[in-house]
Amino acid sequence: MLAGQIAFYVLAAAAIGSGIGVIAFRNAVYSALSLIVNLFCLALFFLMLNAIFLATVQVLVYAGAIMVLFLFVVTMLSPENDESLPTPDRLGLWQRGAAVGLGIILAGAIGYIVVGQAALHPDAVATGAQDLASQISRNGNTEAFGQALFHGFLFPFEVTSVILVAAIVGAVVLGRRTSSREGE
Amino acid sequence: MPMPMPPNAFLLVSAILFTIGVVGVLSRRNPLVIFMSIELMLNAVNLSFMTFSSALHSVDGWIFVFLVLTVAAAEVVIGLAIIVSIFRSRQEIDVDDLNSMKG
Amino acid sequence: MAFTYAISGGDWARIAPELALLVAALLVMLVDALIPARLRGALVIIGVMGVLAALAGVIMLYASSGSPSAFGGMVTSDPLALFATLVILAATGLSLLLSPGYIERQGTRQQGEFYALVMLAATGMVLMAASTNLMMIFLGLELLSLPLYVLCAFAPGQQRAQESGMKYFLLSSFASGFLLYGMALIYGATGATNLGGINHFVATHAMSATAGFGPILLGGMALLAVGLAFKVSAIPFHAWTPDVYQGALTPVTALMSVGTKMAAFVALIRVFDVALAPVRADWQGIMWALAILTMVGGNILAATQTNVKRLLAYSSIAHAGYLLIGIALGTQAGIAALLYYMAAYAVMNVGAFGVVLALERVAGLGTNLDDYRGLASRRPALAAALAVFLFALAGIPGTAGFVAKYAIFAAAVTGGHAELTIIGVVASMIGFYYYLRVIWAMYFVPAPDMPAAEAANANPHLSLAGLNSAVVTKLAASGTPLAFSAGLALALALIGTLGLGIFPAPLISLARQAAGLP
Repeated sequence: MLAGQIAFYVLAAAAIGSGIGVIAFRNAVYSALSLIVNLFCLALFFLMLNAIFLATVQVLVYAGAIMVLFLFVVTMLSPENDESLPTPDRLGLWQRGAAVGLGIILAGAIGYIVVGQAALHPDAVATGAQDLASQISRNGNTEAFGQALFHGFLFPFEVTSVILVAAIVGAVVLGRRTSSREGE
Repeated sequence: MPMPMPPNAFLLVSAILFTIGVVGVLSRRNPLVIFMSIELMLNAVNLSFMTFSSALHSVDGWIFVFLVLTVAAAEVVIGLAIIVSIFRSRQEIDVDDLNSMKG
Repeated sequence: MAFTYAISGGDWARIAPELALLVAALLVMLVDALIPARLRGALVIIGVMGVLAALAGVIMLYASSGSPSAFGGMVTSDPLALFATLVILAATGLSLLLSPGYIERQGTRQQGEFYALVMLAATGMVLMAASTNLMMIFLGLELLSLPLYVLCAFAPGQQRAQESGMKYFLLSSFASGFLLYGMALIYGATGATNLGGINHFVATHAMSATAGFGPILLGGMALLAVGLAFKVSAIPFHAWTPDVYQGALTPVTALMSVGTKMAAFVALIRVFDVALAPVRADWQGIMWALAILTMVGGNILAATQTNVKRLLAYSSIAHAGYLLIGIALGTQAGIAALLYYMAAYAVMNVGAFGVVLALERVAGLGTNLDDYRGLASRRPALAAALAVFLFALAGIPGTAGFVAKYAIFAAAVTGGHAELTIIGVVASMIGFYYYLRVIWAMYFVPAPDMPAAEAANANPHLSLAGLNSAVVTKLAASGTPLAFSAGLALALALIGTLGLGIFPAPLISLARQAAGLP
């Protein structure tokens, strides 16, 4: 138990530190790298919460595929385009101050909500809880996830396929338009 | 493996990460960094869903995380395509420079 | 249940309208690949047929009996969903009819993808309106947003469109983050993502903000309200609206202003007015304040605009304020009035954008208030049509807008919120000013001396647009002829605006049925 707690604190510190890194680094490449660290920490949190399949997906899809795309775009669009360059920054300072102030208020409010109170109502433990527990004990964790995804939640799963179609069409439209104009 | 910490600890980490994302969106001007901050927010939400799912012994949260992951992938594709297409025609991207419209 | 549910054929029949729109979107892409480029304009026919097929699906579902719920409580085809589907289909159909001619004039080469994305966005809107699970609300919202991001960045060679697309994308994703966090907290507080389950839990536990576990629910409601308020462009979450509405192609603006609002308002109704009704005291104040801010702020900001597309954008914010009254009341009469208002708003707003579109030249030129001077003598039919739509938006008796405003204000009085009525009426007075300003310019101010072509050449935006100035001069000088389909769309919108104003009874009874009233 103690090992688990230590692991939690280390991970939490790493996740928050890399999260701050995402927004604090002046060079966008470093921000992207921080985000990868952050996503990896979250995958470990998922493991800690017994979601083995989703932890794997998080690493493969998010920290892997999505962030590679991000890094690719960041490095393609002039890596030197950072904000250390002198820019006319009249609004910048107070805008940043306001953002940080708002952030502290938000963190305080949410922190108060989730920590200062008895968070979870015992009755909110869903009626399906027994169902899930028996699924997990019979088939294992990932299988239970798969069973749910392809039975009760098959329809949302199908809808994501339509969303991906929309994304592909959109990417084709946006990508082709620039090249066709260059050809003029 | 039982949860090593009470759910509130995970929720607090999630809240802090979400807030960092919000501050990033509000304070940075590089669209790519803003976009990364939004991804950070989505991941913080995923951690919340996952925690609630474990604490409530309910499968809905897992499925929700899965859906958010998929949708985030789709959003990244569109978002980066838009940013690249603007960059191609402008050669520079800073939100405050998007000035052909005012007020 | 979650582990054993098996989908049956009956489930698919319950989402017939969504399927029809989706099939039309896929067909557009397929046919686009097979036909020669010069025939691509005809792809709009497939889109319109998809809308008509979806309409047939709605009629079939109205006639059908049995439980409206499908896919184990994921979506429903109850009267509320069907009514919203009707409104969204009307907006989609009219926007599609307005597109031919216009999008070619704007230099769009990828017509197939344009229509496919419009149909996909419409699918998302209808799906969101039918959702009865937080997951489906989120997915529907994303399915409608993703194509709209692309459509907003669509106008070729126009920085303004690309900028508005990016601005919309970043802000909208930001709002989605809040929406999702709200959903997560609501799920954590109640243990369900299903709206029925949330309602059951809240009703049986008499939750309140001060009782032990209430704060999580309260935070969830607030964040969810922020996310959805962004989508309906309520003040103070409206900042993206004018830029995006001005920068996007006008048919897209028309679709967005009606379809997204309708879908998001149905989600607001389902989540707040239905599922969270037992804790109304906790969220009513937020909606009340949003409604007032949006009504007053939208009208005041609209009054200062000199571009007609921007003016209509701010007017759309103001209308979102009147609609929020229906949410804030939380009564069934309020919901019925909101639904009728939305239907009226669909025809009059799409109609107004249709006239703007007919007068718009390349690269967003010709949408300034000055360009409308003396319009009544140059294009009398268009000027008259725009006058009717603007009178309707202002709420002059005899038009759909008057009946809608009357219904919603009356519902506010009977619902015990007379102060909302008073503020709404005062805000509408400001509205009169700017709608009449456009009408005044069209009818009582002579056209400017400078010929339109010279004005166009003098405009620095043209170099930005990178367009051949000879083409621009020709277009500007000849005025743009109205495509047949656009004329048809305007005629339909005109019939709708006047018809709903003079014979409102059938639609009112439909809206009351959707709200669960006898």
